Amino acid sequence: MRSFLVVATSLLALVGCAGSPATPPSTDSPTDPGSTAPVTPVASAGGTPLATPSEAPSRGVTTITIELADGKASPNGDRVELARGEPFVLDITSDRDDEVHVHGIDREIEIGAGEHQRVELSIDTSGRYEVESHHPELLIVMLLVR
Amino acid sequence: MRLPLHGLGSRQDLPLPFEFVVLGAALALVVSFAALVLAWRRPRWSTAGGLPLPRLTRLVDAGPTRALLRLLALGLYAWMALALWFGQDRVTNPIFGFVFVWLWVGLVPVSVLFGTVWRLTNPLRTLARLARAAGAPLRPLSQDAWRRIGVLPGVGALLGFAWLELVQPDNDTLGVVRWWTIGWVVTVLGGAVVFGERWIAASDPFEVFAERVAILSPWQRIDGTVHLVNPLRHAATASVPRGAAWVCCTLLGITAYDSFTNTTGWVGWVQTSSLPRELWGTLGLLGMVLLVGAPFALAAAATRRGWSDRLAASLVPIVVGYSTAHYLSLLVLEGQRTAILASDPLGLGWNVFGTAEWGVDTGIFDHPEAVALIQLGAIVIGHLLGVLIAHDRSLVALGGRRTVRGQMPMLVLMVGYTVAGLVLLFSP
Repeated sequence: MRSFLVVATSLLALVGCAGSPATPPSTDSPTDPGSTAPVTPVASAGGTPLATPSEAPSRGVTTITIELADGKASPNGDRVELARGEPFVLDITSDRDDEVHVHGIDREIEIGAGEHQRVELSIDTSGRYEVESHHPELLIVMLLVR
Repeated sequence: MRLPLHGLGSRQDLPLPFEFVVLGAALALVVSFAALVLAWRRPRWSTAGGLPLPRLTRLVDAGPTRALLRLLALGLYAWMALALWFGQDRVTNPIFGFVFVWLWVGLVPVSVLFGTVWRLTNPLRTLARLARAAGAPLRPLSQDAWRRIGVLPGVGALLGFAWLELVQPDNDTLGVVRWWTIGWVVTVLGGAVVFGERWIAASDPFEVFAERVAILSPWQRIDGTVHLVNPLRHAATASVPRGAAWVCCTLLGITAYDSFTNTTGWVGWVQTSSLPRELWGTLGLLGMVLLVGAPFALAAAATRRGWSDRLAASLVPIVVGYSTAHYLSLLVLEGQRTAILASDPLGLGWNVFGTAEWGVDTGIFDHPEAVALIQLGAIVIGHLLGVLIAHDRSLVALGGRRTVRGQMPMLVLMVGYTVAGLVLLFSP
């Protein structure tokens, strides 16, 4: 599964170069190595397969589908490869009030019970970054930004 | 490092490229067997020696120098205690970076470059001396008892610190760090008041760690005079407290556990387990230390019985190499962030040291290949120096008998450590 993720995301990174939108101007403090975009409105609560980066038809960016249910996270600590500055989308659904924390760029995404959010982010500094939920504390995904 | 929830240690290095793992393993093998076959046949570093520096000795031993160094260190700790007790319970409090990065990671380069400066400036020693001015130790121990104790209490203290750093939940909150700080001061300083100041050398995890690493520094005190020495000769001839081998193995085990907990297999296992993750963390930490320590004990016993502490000097460069490979970028990134935050310990918008306006320079991360190369270099150089020290120590231990075959257990062990370290940095 993981190698599939790696291949899929790498391919998407190649494809995405042509059509990916420009990253919005950074609004972060100078200590943050990354930049974040505002939360995009939910288009549909679609049933994307779990942990599969899929190309959103209109954007051409890597999407990481995160499902928080019954105190478990899916994906469960998997790795996702990204390029520096490459935009990616966290597509999050949760069955309880929770926060999803993207380390390194210190982005906290609050999500209510039963909600669905799509958040577009990008990270400009190479490294390994953890995406965690807080209730309970779980490591959802490790982002490998090269 | 894994401090959940907040910023500290939140960015880690990329896994080492697989080609680097293969290259590093091959280099380690070649270096090891080249040293075995080609290197000297008689011990070279059986006695201490180097360039005596009497003027430097007078300078560093002068009362005002000592007082100034102690005062600076005490002031720094007092400043951070201010942040710990009266600062805000947020990740912008500099205490977290101070404890987990400046102290724990920073003591390695400081001790390698400047020798035993950690012991000279240890604030608990300063406080113990102030306390001693009020009276002698309550129950002083004999020289013989101190020799039997060695640094064994420090092994437990190192495990305690590792547990705080890697297992303890909410270790990024002030309440937790306050309790651990109280425990540290009570056991180390309290023991010093009861048994005498030597208890600090035996039990303070930071000093025990720093003193082991300092045997690789180019500064060695021989007959009271500071000498500029070959660091390898220093490591081979430095005095060895009882338990030195377990200190080195514990340090290696802690770093290995830190890497191991980043593997997707371990994360997935712990998160789906019904048992509490603190239990897995504790078992994993102790298991990793035993996994490092037991083969060392066997290899050392196969070289010469009762020599494990004396052969442990060869592990110190590996400890330093691993520490560099694992924590260099953390030290660069979080070390800067801590310096920035240190200007404002209470979160009141102060800029006492003029650092508050600084930005963190993340330039080195634009070159992940260079970071990977530094990691590989640190591990391979650590291995090379370790093999050379092991070679010389083994020649002494073997007393001229079976000089090639007798070295095999230690050599195989060190290649094993290095390959395991590389694989963990690659962490699948």
